[in-house]
Amino acid sequence: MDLRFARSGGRTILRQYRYTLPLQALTPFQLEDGTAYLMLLNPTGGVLGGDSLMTRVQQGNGTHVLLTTPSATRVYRTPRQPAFQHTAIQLGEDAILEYVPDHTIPHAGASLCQTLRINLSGGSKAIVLESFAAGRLACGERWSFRDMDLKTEVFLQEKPLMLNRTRITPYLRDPSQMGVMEDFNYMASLSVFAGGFADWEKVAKALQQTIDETTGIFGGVSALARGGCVARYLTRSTPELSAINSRLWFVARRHVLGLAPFPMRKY
Amino acid sequence: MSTDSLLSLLQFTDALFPAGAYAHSFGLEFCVQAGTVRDAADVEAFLWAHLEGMCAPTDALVSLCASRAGRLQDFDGCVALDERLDAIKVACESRNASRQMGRQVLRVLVHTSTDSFAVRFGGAITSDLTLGHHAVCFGIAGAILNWPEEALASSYLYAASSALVGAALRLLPLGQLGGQKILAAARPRIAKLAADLQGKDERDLWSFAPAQEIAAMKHANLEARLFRS
Repeated sequence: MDLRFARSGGRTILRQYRYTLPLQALTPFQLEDGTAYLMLLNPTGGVLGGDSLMTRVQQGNGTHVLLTTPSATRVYRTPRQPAFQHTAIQLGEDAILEYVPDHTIPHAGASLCQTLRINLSGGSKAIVLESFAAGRLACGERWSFRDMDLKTEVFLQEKPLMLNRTRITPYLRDPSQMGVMEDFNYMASLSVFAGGFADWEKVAKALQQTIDETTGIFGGVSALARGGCVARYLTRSTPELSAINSRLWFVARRHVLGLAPFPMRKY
Repeated sequence: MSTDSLLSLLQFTDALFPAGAYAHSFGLEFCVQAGTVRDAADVEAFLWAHLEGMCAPTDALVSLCASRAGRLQDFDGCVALDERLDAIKVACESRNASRQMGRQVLRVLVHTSTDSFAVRFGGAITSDLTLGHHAVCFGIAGAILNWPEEALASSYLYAASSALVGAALRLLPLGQLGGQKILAAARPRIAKLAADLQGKDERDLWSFAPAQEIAAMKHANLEARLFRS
């Protein structure tokens, strides 16, 4: 799927949209401030073994795009080949990206290789949410997937701001052990990046305070060496995850974008 | 491995070596204060998560890559590894600890050898042209002092274990013998991790020890603390 956004008359418009099923996007909503709010869909309901899904997003200068999903992304059992899911997002000068998809749920026997690469330009900003579950907990599946290889790379003008690669192979290494996931079922990261922004300690403090005020969450926040800060946290249930995801996103929105909370209605 | 190489490896991983590892607990202090690490078994589990989920697939592998780049006198390759590791280390205190320890390694290397590559890299650190992460500097030392890859990786992991157990001994009433038992039990596991790293390169870098990483982030907010990380 290819999505190209451009700035037109104070608004962000979807100038070009090409896709091949199973990837698809709904027609973007225009928010009051001109932001393009777009839902990324997978009508098959999930990712299958052998899928190789590529999403490319190009944001022109000054665009503001909010990308999300209607619900969690399921990765079905992959008996033969792993599933591949790649997303590459290029931000023009002064562009703003809010990438807040729902969490990934790997089913028993699933094997997923996922990459997310974001390139920022001068003056651009990004809020990026990533989260996954230990499995289909309601079905009694916990760490029953085969493996997940999740790579996230964020660059500012070709220099790396954050490089993260999580590899989980439950059949080789029990994720429930101390120092890893312990008795938690969900892991999430809310990362904020901005080229010309300086007060990361203040943002980190506000995010940490939000985590500390929320019961049942184990999470920490740290400023990156430059250009950003990351909140990483663990929860035990989906409602806890959804609530903290929204709260942290709103804090990041207020502090870095100067915008009020945006309550998404998905259901 | 020549005796001189072996002795230099012992020197660079010795507790007397002024890398400053004694000042860091790598998140253990937070866990002890939070009550999640209480005894020798917990320390052993914490150490294992640290080695298997972070130190081996990230730092020890970077040290191997830096050693290879150092042998080729690939200055830009070492700088790129430094930059990469800086973007991988999300927890601020862990990143700073790694930079501080690396600078000490290079400082000793520059003052005890006449190797031009070490002098050049040390100069780049002093001039803030590169960051001087511990794994990168240790790898460069290995290239100059001819440490074989498996010895380099296993000694890197052993030194990290020794530093962590040293911190545990100051945080919990384990006793010296308790600490030695943990290190002895770690030896075969370290050997396997080091062997598994052979043939791997920077495309294989990963980490997964989120609870430990979060503890390292939260350590910065502790009101009273013995350690810098």
